[in-house]
Amino acid sequence: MKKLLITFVCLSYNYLLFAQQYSVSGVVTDENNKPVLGAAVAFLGTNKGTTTNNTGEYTLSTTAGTYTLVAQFLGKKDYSAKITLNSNRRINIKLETAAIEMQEVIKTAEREDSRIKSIAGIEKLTFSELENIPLLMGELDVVNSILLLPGVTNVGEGSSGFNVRGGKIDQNLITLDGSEIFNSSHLLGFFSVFNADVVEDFTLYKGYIPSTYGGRLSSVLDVQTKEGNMQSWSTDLSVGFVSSKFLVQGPVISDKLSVMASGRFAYPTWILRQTEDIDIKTSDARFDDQNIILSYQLGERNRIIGSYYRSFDRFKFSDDFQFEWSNQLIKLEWKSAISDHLFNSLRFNSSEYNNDQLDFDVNYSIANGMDFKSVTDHLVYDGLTNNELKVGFDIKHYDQKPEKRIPRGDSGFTELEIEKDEALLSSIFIDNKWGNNAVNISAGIRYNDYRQLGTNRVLQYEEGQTKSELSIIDTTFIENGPVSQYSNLEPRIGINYFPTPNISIKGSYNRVQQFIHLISNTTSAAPTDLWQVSTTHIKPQEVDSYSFGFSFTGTQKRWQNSFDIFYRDIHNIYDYKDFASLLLNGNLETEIVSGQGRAYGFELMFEKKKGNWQGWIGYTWSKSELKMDNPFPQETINQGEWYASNFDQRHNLSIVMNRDAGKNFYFSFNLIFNTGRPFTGVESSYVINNANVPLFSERNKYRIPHYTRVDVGCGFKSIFKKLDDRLNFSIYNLFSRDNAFSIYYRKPNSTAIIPFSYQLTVLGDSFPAFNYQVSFGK
Amino acid sequence: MKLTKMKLRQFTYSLFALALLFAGCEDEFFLIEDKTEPQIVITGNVRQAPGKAVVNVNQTSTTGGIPVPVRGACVMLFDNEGNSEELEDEGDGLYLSSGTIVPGVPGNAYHIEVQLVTGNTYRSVPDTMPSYKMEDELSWRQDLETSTSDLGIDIQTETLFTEITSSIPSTDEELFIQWVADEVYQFLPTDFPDPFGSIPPPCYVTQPVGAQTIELFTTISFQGNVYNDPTLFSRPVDDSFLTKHIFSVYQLSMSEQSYTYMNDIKVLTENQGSLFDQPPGLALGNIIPDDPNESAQGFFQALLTDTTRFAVFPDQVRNEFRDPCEYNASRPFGDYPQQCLQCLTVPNSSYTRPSYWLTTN
Repeated sequence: MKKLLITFVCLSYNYLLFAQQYSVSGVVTDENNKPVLGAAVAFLGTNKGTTTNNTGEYTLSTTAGTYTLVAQFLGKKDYSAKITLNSNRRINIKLETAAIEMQEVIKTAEREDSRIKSIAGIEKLTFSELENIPLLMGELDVVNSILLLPGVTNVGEGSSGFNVRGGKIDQNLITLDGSEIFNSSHLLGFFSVFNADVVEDFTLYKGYIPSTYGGRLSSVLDVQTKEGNMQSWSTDLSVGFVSSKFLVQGPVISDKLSVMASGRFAYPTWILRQTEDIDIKTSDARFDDQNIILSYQLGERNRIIGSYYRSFDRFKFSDDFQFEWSNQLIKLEWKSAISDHLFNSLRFNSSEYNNDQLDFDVNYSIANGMDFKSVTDHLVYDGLTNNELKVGFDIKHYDQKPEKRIPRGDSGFTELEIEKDEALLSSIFIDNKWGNNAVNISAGIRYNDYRQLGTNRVLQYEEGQTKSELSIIDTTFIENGPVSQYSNLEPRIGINYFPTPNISIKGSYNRVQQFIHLISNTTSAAPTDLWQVSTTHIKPQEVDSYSFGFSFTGTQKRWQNSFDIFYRDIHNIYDYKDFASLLLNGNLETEIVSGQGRAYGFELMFEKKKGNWQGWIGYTWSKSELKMDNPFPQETINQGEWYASNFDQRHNLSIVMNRDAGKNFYFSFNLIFNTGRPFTGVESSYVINNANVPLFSERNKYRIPHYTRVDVGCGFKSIFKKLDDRLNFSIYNLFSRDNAFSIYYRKPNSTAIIPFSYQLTVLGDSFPAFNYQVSFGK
Repeated sequence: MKLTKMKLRQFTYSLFALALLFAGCEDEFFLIEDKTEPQIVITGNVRQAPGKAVVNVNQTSTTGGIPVPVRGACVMLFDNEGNSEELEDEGDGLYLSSGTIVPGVPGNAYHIEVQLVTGNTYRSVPDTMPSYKMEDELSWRQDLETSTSDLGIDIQTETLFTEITSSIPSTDEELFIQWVADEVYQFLPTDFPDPFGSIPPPCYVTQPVGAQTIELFTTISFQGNVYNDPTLFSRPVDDSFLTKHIFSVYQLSMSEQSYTYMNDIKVLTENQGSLFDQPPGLALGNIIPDDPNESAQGFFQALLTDTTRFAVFPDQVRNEFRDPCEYNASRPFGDYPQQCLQCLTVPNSSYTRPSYWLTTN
């Protein structure tokens, strides 16, 4: 027995000796000492590999021996080094920017199976992947880019926001470095607030939404900005037809403190001046935005990033009216690697949105807006094999600015202020990612505690009556505590199963609650829309989202193909009552109705990753419907039956292709087709008390004509040999198709009795654009 | 909420401006798919005695045109005291009560039943006649009104504005008021010389004023005892002011439900119909078809009414007028407008002189 024990101990010792695991950890940075997120790090010839986390850290474990450690990342040169592993080691890796040819190789390697590996409904894009695509006014734009993806639509040119899988525009959480954005449009929707020069990458979560995000039902658009160069100064300039921009970056303290500053200015007013129409000639349209980003490296394991963003928009029409809106965002973030496997990110965000509408006739303006502040902490642990655990909290404070009527000059109106609400949303979450060669599982849970603060009065409406100004019977004043309170638990799970390396079968489920709503009585987002936090009478929206699909690629991986089915079941979704009036209304619950929503459909994506021709074909078949079936006729729409939502579009097709025609020249085109969206039509008329009354159809009974558009683009990646420059030329809407933006009704003249229907086309002609970009100092 | 609508409309203008900027356009649009089904529209009211109850029965046109009158319907009027009366078919979809069998009494509730020759039956939800109304005082002034033409040119027009000052009675009841107005003026045909010296009889033209502008007021949330609107109605000054005009302003005191309905109608009629206007919809009336699968429009109202009148004489208006029918010996007979030869060709004209024509000054 003793011999047996000795033998067992010896064998165990030998086993332990041979099986002794050593780890290699470190941080992967670029030449500016900026952490590289998502870089692949592996021991060559083994199945030991990982990717860097959001602080650039990686950790690999294996037995003692000699290995070749390699690291790769899109656009960077490969790193490769032989190491002998007989103890735990820390190896920091610096990846240098690759030459063009190398970039292409790595880009292909990185992306060739990204659709296979990703959880259902996650699209991560960088502008370098999109730079050849012809886009409106030649401007690379985050929102215009994602509109080319399956499942993402909008209501046409000139509309703010976007709709994801049949969702409303306020159901998209749009963040810039974590700060929520309440109006993402410039120039009434032709541009977005994101300056492509400072955007590192952006991720659209339209299916699976990790539990680190919350508060919007449909999607998350998470836009991350770059950080300044830590070693050398450089300048980028871009001159365009309608807008120009600049970017300056460099080290304030070499390898310690960098700064990046950029500005963008749009000046379409000079085009307005060319018209004959005096009203348009005296109009004004402009916007500008600026970013400043400071990044400070505090030792090897800490980094502090501060950023500031502001934007301003003005649209003045003759001496009639003027819209102005602005955004101001501040971020302060401390990223730290507490140990080789434990990382923390503590972030403070502030966002301020102001909206002002001035009417020169009555000489007063109406102002409203939103103040947002949040504190977020993410703690990441990746010490377990093939596992990443993330826990954290979000505390968000929404403060609706009072809605004010502000008289100007000799206006006969008095000042008026409608008090608005504020709310505190506290969330904790846990999110875990685990995977091996056969399956990836992302699962998490998020708990929300929502408290409405601010105005401490709750209106009581007469029971058995629809909510209206006339049915208010009493007001309850809340002495202590929140005015209203909601809490919920949100499970999230996404599973990706790989029966073979080239096939994945995916499924996901999310439950999400939305506590803030954009109250609108228009089809497209307008500056008159109002953000409203949940109250006693406006309950949070809730969705259960299901997604199932599969992706496959061939052995050559020339194409990546995916098929996704989705279904969304929404509770407490809001639509406006007939005749809703929103401005200067302190009781918005009287103007809206709540009900159910559902959206379902499937998406097909055929993406070509290799070869001279690259691009994708995306197709979506979907339905987005609402049901407002309430006890009162005033709160019932279309007899309580399901009806198409404003952004229900049955078929969406996008073909995006670009071809490299030699080293320097490229050609590209887009083809977009969308089924016309619904509208409410005038069917007839009748007379009452001598007034002719148009008789409208049931809501959204008809559809505007289908939308079809072809764009082409071409360009040179270099014009002058000594400069790092680029020239792009594009024609948007090549065939000058009159795509309908909307159908509206207007009396053709002052004596007409019945209104006529008209089709409004915002971009009815082809729109050529050029853009010249040049960089100095790179 | 005037600004709201103005703002929303202006936002549409901004889109038009952008459309022009970006080579956009607007074209008339026709619904290709005809999904329209005709609907019955029943409107009408009963007023306090001695007023008669009036009911109009029409059917909407599937082509978007004016409604078609429905004749031969059986229209019954009921009150909450058990009285009932069948209304007389006056033709053109118009049905009138005697005014005596079911008299309009403040505080009583009234409803109608309409049975078409097809057998389809419609009933109105009872509407209660209010017990209170306001006391109106009217005045008028002449001023220039500026409007902007489609080409963007400012046009100034001499206009008569009617100002109303209305006293609110002391009562706990909330009042829901609508004002409607009409005008009557004489139209004098050309007095051609004849051997007998006969003068052709004048026509009296009665027409609504500001029919597409629905003037509403409620005492809910209103602080004060007197309501004033300096521009209740406006009427451009034209050659018709060559003769005396009598303006009648009818105050209609109605139920809350009726007021809500008229408020919806106001939005529908004053809506410019743009994408960013206050959204259109179906005004929920009180006409219920027996067939649950059918839709019907309209409202049968019980109204407490009051009428105030004033006259405007030609010498009170600062314009200079030209009589289009003035006799001129050198003018060929064929050059006179048809209306000057036969004044009944003027729309809404009649030889019948209103009873208040002589007494209103």
